[in-house]
Amino acid sequence: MLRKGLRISAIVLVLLWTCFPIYWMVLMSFKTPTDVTHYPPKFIFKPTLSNWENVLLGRKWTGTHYETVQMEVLRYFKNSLIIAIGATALALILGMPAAYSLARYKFFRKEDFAFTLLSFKFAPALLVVFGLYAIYQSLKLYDTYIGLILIHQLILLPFVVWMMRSYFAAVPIEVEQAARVDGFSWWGVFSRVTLPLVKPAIAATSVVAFIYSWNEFLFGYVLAGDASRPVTPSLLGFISYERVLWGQMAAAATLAMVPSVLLSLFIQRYVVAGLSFGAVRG
Amino acid sequence: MRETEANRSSRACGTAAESVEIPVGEGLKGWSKRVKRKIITPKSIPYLLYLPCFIVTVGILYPFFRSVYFSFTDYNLTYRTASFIGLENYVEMLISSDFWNSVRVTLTYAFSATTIELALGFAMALLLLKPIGGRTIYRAIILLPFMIPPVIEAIMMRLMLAPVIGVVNYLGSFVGMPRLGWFGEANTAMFSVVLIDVHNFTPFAAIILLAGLQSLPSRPFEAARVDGASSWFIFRKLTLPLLKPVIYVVILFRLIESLIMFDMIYAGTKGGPAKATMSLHVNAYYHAMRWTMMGEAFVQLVILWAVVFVCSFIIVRAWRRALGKRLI
Repeated sequence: MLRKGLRISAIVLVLLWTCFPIYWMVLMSFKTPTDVTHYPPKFIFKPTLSNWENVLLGRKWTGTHYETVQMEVLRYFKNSLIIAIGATALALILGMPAAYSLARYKFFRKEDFAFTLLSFKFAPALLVVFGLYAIYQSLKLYDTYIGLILIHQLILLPFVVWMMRSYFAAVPIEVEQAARVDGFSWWGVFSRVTLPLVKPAIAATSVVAFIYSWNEFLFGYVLAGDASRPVTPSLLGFISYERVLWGQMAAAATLAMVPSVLLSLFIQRYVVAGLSFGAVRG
Repeated sequence: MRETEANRSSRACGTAAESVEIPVGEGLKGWSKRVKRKIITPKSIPYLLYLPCFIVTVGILYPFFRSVYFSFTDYNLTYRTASFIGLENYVEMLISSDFWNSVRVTLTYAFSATTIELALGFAMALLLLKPIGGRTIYRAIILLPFMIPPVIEAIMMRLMLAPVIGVVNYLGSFVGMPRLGWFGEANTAMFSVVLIDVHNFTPFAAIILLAGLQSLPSRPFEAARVDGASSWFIFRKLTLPLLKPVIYVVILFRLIESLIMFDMIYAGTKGGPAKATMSLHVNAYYHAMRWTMMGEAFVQLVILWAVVFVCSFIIVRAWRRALGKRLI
């Protein structure tokens, strides 16, 4: 009985620890600027929708009329969607054949290739960003969707390859050989036998890749101007020299979390498998 | 129809069996088929599959090596000149106390964050292993902080941990916690940044370890329990060794990502106060953006990259060894 009580209180503690900052952020999005910085902090207050109005409609209720404001969170949100989906798709298209090749064949210095690829993911972002900035300027890729998709897919690629590699390796080679004997071509085996078998893995990989791309900050901050800025770096726009628009930033940040949260709720099993890098099959 | 299609493409792939059937000299179509057969052979397939990915990654090598080259020059953004000065930047860095401070900060940050996340993640995973109610719901809730972009987490935490108006100091005062300066004081700043890293990324560790624990075979555990082994003994001799591959994945990702962490430290403390959280990555940013000394910035980034490379090499090797024959 005591043990069970201890366990339950420990679980409650853990849930409090994980949820409280998020709860506070959502709460903040309904606060007026004076309530946000009020001391002692207010848990019960008169909620206001003006932050959300500002973020979603791009205008502010001043008491007598709507005043249009500059922050266009929804547009940045759309930018993020385009970039994250594009980068995920491209990384899958490029990464899956490579992963299959690493999983199924022996070739020259295979392990070195695989590790070098992984080490790109671990290079400090600034090391590439500075060089990339000049290149993007001269290639007219600066502040374009294509430019951002290209660099995002590059940081997702190692992850996709290593993930998919372990899943392809888990498909018994006998299955493929049997299909081969039945007269399927190489491509036929790959597309009609192997791919359907790793469908859950593809879902897992793309969900995690999407979240990584969505949360990425530095590349979106440096390599994008206003036209293609993703939502995560755009949130810094609520901070200026005079003040920080805490309430609106909280509303925008809550909004920015929605896609990842939805994805992880609906296909949570896949997220778990995806995060573990293929070491665990959810 | 489907069969013939399959047949045709298998011929293109050049399996030995039906090579006889192809008529020679059938015009353009036959020619393209022959070229295809020359290129796509069983031997070349692995390379061809890897090629697109390889080409794209080689593209990134150009800015990468350009940066490495600049670390050997006195490249300055203000004057736009870069002349080769050999190892001068490196020597200058190695004798500067700022650099060593950054190295110390980076290592402290990375190792303490990884250790805490691993330990806490393990505790959380063990806690959620025995189902109470719906485990799926706990899993979903626990995973939530991972969905917050690190930058946003750091900025929001700056308000929550504000020394005077912050909600954490306010709630802490009820349980007798002293009023802390958090990000604002040199001796608590590091602790605070590690704390938000832990909050953001412990879910990652916990969820993976939980999944790993769930996938363990039950047979050896039953046998050990029948033999009367203590639960500490079971944990040390059975759970830990069996979980090794999963633990390595957690260490790999957390250690590397916190070694190169930029978003959180920059948004949380900007490296201050008094350089208490000035990690290599943030320090390089300042050298480049504020003081336009690109050479010095690149030296620090190259050294950081070398550290990361060595660490990841060691961990990946250990991981592959732990996996043994389970992979490939």
